[in-house]
Amino acid sequence: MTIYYVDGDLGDDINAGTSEGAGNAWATINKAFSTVVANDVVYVKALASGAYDEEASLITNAAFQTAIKIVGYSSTPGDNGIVRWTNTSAGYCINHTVSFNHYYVICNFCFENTSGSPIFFTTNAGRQLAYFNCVFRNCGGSSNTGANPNLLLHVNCLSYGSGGNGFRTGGQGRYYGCLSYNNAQSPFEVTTGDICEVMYKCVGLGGPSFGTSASVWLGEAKWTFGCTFDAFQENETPNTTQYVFYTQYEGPAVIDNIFANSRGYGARGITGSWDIEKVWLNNLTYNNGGGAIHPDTFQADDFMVADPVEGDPSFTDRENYDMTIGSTSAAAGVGMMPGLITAEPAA
Amino acid sequence: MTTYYVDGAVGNDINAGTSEGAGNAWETIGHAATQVTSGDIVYVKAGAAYAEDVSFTVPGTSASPITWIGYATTPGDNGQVVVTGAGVTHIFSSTWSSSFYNTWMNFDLSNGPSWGFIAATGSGASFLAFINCRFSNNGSGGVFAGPNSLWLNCESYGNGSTGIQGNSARIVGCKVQNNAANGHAGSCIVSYRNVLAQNGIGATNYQLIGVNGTSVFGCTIDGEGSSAAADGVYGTLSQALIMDNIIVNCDSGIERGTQHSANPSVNNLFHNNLIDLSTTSALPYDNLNDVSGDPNFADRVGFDYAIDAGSPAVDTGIRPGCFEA
Repeated sequence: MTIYYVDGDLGDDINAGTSEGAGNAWATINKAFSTVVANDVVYVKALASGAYDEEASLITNAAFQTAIKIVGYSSTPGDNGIVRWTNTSAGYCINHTVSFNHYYVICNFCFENTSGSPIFFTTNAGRQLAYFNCVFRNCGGSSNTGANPNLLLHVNCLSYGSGGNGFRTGGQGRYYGCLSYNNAQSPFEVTTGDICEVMYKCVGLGGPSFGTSASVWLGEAKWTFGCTFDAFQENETPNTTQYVFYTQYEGPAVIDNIFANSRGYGARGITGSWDIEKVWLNNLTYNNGGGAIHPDTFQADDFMVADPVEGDPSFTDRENYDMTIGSTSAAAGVGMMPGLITAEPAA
Repeated sequence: MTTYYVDGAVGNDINAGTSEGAGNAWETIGHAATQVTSGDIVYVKAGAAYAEDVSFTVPGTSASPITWIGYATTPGDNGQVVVTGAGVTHIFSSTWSSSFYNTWMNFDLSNGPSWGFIAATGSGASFLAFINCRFSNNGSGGVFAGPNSLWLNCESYGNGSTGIQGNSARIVGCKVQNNAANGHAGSCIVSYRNVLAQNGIGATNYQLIGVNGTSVFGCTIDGEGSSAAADGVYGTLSQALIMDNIIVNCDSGIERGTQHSANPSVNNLFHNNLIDLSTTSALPYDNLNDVSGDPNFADRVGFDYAIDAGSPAVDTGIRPGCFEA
């Protein structure tokens, strides 16, 4: 395992790259991407001002045990400072040229102001990539484009101002603690025919141009816990052909979420051959023009232990996308608790 | 789809079973198990002993499952039915070794000589579901079902072996405590808002066994200092996410296997573990925002794992968005 360092202010690509500072670090991220092998770690230092402006090609595969880590920092490696990165020519920031499993972990980058998407996947690419603490902002396209990016993992990521989708995944995508707002299309998009695996404590909000199509959703996942979805469509004509959250596949669980201000239904579950044992409970719905939950959602084998509660979630500052709730919210104190739902019977 | 009724106090198996009360309801669950077809619902009234070991043999289908629902006085009241069993073998068992689309709600399967519930082993027996059920103080384990089975708001405790066993298990809102072997065995794919505590003390047992892609959120895991190599969350755990949990008194709080591409520990509270997180192939984002300190459980000895406003676990959970400006 080798640790490399990139410093766009002081570095030079003719250096060895194996320690920090002038005479040691590299200047470009692409130099690092073209050098790394499995197990390596690359620390990229934030520029004193502005953003890295380059396209870096990922050309090396790793494996489960030997993931390659690309980690931004501001003053000390490991400080989790965020590094700005753009591409002012027509290209991408990261171009994934390798196919199939990548096993890269990308931490602490802000991809911004690209004309299209900042990340591109070639055929059958983009699998097993993880983004931690990354921002996608004001890019012309979705967070990524190209081939279906299966098995993407996003943790504590933020997306806003996109000309496309805030976040885009293929099958088995997973989002934990991600916030997406004010994008032209869906805040959390799943490519056609694929299924997002998990959304946990995420917030997906509609932007000014969101939701003109019945097939555009705020989110879609198999297991969805503790998320907030608000379409910002309270001033639009109610429409019962729409629903802004969707779950499908066998055995989904939708628990402890808020679905608010959709012009259509707050949420819908699939029916048909994939409709097996859905679990919906402890969700809060509010002010959805078409209705709370689409009536097709619940079939004989679905478990809705309690009807969704309807009430005002009382977001702290919705206009500024602060969707935290206080103790007076209708959603406060109604989350799932461990143990039986009924009192213990007498011995 | 037919709705049937079982009432061990006033029913009789020669009745039609299609409405409640004397002259209408059946007497035994075992009789109902021989009569149901896909899509049926069977309401079972509490009060009688139900001193029978029941074998379920009709699998249902995904579109037309079979649902067994206990009640106290009115169907749908979610009152629990205590089934004492015959004292011979497993209280409930299912014989079908393929997908078995049956759901049991509001059953108490406790104090039996073997398992409270066991599904036929083999390749299938998948998609069983248990809601608001109790499995306690059975001679063997609490409940054992096949892949993709669901446990929702169940309790399994004081059993002579594993609390909950199943591969690709979905375990939500359950209490699994004080069992003689693993809290959960097999592989868990989703664990949300569970208490897994003080299971398998004195031997190499785990509170929860994960697998690639496992998600463990909002759980309280207490190993009770059980023994060397007795871990809180154990498994191969590639692309697993373990966050917003309280993990205490374990050998390794989280023990990773050899596949660990992206399985960091995030926003967990660790306390009094020999090792919080196994160091195998440490990652640059390990222990992201983890905290430590005594979680101040209300009554750990009495298995009350509630925390109060003074606990260091309060307000340390993951929040949407980046954690840096």
